[in-house]
Amino acid sequence: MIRTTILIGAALCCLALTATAEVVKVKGNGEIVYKGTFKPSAAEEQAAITEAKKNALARYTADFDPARIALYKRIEPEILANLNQYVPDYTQLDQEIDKPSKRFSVIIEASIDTTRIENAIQKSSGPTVQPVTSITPAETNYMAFLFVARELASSKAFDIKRNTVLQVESSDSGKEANKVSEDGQSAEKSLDKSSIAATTTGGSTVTKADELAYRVTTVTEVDNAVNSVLTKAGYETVAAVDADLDVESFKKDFSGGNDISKPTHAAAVKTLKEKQIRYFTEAHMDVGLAKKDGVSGLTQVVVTVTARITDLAGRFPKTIASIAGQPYAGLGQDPQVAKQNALNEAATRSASELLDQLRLKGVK
Amino acid sequence: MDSRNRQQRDQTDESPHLRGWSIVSLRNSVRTPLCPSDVLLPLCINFAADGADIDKPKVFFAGFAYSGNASDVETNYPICSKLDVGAADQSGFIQTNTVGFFKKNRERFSKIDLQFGLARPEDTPLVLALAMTDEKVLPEEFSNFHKLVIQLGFELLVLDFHEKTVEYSRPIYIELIDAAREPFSNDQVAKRVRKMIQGEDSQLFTALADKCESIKIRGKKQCTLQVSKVVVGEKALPFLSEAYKQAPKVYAQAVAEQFGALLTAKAGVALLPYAKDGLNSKMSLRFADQSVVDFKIPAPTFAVDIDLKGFKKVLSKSTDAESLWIYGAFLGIRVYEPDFQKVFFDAPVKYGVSKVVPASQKTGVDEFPVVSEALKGAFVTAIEQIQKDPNTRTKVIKKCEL
Repeated sequence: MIRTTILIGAALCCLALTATAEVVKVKGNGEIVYKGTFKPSAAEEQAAITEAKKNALARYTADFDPARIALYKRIEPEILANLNQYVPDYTQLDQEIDKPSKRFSVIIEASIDTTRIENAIQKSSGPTVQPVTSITPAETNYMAFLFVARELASSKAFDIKRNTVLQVESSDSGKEANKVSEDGQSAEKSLDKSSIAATTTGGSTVTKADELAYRVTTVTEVDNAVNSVLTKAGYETVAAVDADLDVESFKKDFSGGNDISKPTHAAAVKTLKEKQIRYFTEAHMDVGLAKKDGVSGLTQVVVTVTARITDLAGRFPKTIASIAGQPYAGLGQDPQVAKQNALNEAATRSASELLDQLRLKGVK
Repeated sequence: MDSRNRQQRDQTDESPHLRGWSIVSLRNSVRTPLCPSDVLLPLCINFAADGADIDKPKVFFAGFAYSGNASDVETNYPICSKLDVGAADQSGFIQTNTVGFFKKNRERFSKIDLQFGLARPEDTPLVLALAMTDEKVLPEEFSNFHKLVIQLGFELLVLDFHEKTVEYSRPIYIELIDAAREPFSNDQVAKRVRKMIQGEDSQLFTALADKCESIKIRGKKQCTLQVSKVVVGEKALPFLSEAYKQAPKVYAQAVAEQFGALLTAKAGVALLPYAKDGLNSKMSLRFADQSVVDFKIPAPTFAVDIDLKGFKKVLSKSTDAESLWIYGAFLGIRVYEPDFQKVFFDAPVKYGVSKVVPASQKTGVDEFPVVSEALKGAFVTAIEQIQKDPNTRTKVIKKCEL
């Protein structure tokens, strides 16, 4: 078993990422009205298949987030004009001719080349990757990024404070009668009494929010994942440390709340402007508690990301892309591995989403 | 232990009558990824890579795995997981048996080049694994005897480790029925389970030997089928064993696996595993080296819905000596394209089996095996009808054939 594990490790080490063409299968249907008397011509059948391919593409892109859909819409005419390149293969599942209405419909399972679509999106919107030698420092728009992860270190919960006011009102009324017998030997005394009591209660309840303290860390793997996404898209990235940002101040601010203090923010903006770094991406990733995944039985950790990108070019910093409270889940054999997987997933996907927003705004 | 009646049933046997042997089948999927890149094999990598056959596609052997929640393996497979506990430096019982079988029968896989080495990045990402999906022990007590039914479900899976998807699967379903005057002890049950899965003559490996030939790589244009939905009607419940009456969903899974086993055996189609939780189309596998990998079950090209409406019994003939009862299974089978709801086959199917009850028999009739045979007969009838229907044969079965 030990030998096996070592060999698996060795296998992992020698994995080489190669350029891949991802293909997904998506179904689509197409329908045309044919002109002939009995059945559609070959050209008309082909037209229905083309419609089905377009439908398959539309169904595939329906899962895109809004920013990505907007980016896709920009290149859609180019894709539809070269449909066979983006949908290189298909299997016809069914066809139907409705003679009274002269309608010919077809259902296909299309193979969509998602890598080609991704390349087309990058080419149309992202900064193009140029040879280093052709870029002068003055032309380069650098992007500094600071991703911090935080998890709950302590939580101080306050009991509910209840103020109660009690007002009691009461009144007694009655009559007392004395009766002496005629012979004067005995006497009777009777007392009729009725009482009314009214109680009025009131008050207020004060609930105080828990005081939360976070343990904040920077994670090299997260930095690498974000760097990878941004660099592949052609952005010139600068790590927070290299940009001389005061990382400890950010960590301190994020350890007690969701906002960066004014001095920390002002200092960061000043430093980045001095270094002619135009864009600043800051994000905090809240690591949730580990729990058991119902399907696999593995440990699951959810990381929630809040992030924004600020453009520092103008007189005042301007937020040009943001993500608020987006959750990402990671699985692992133990909480540590699950947390790492969740952080990597969150970093990669949130960076991609921010990237789509930048592309949509034409930020290069 | 006075075992007076023992039956091992083959779920791919077309005969709906109770007989002496048993076993099962497999299923399939699509070869989509164009990239033979980073393949990580979880186990069985301590063997030297054997010679390659350049004409056949390489598929690496990944060994034995338990399907489902990794931390619940001991709960879901209490007997097999116990049998499978090996010494610290040794593989488990089932892993050892499985690896031994595949190495010895490598030549039977005539359409693939089965490899037992460490996959390199440039190698195929496809692997073959044997996964256990079900372990059920159903003891029942009658007035003067104790009955034991052991059902074990397996899937011979072709997996894509790069995409983390199930390419296709061939279900294997084996069953052992035994009876004795005394209740079966845990040791006796474990002994019978061991016999079902140990050695080449066991039910499991006899079934596997039959399936080796059919394992191949699915073409880019080949489609997939999946049993997507099983409904167990109220009229079926009174005939089920106690354990199934309490958990009809578990019975629905067994129904799906049995139908899948017969369908792949008779039609040779590429079948995807039945997703128990419906929307949750994941298959989690824990391999022998304790690594856990989640595989996605892709959306099928075509789906099959099984509506088990119920079972019924009718007294056909009665004499002083015996009574002849007819037990019927009533189904609805629907084959369709799920995205656009294009229905290719939708028909009711029924099948009956007879059961003679001697007048001298004091105990009640054990009806579950009888209705199970009727259900199997209905499945076979349905599959034959599907294959005979020109529309379904051309538009569905032919496209899913491996």
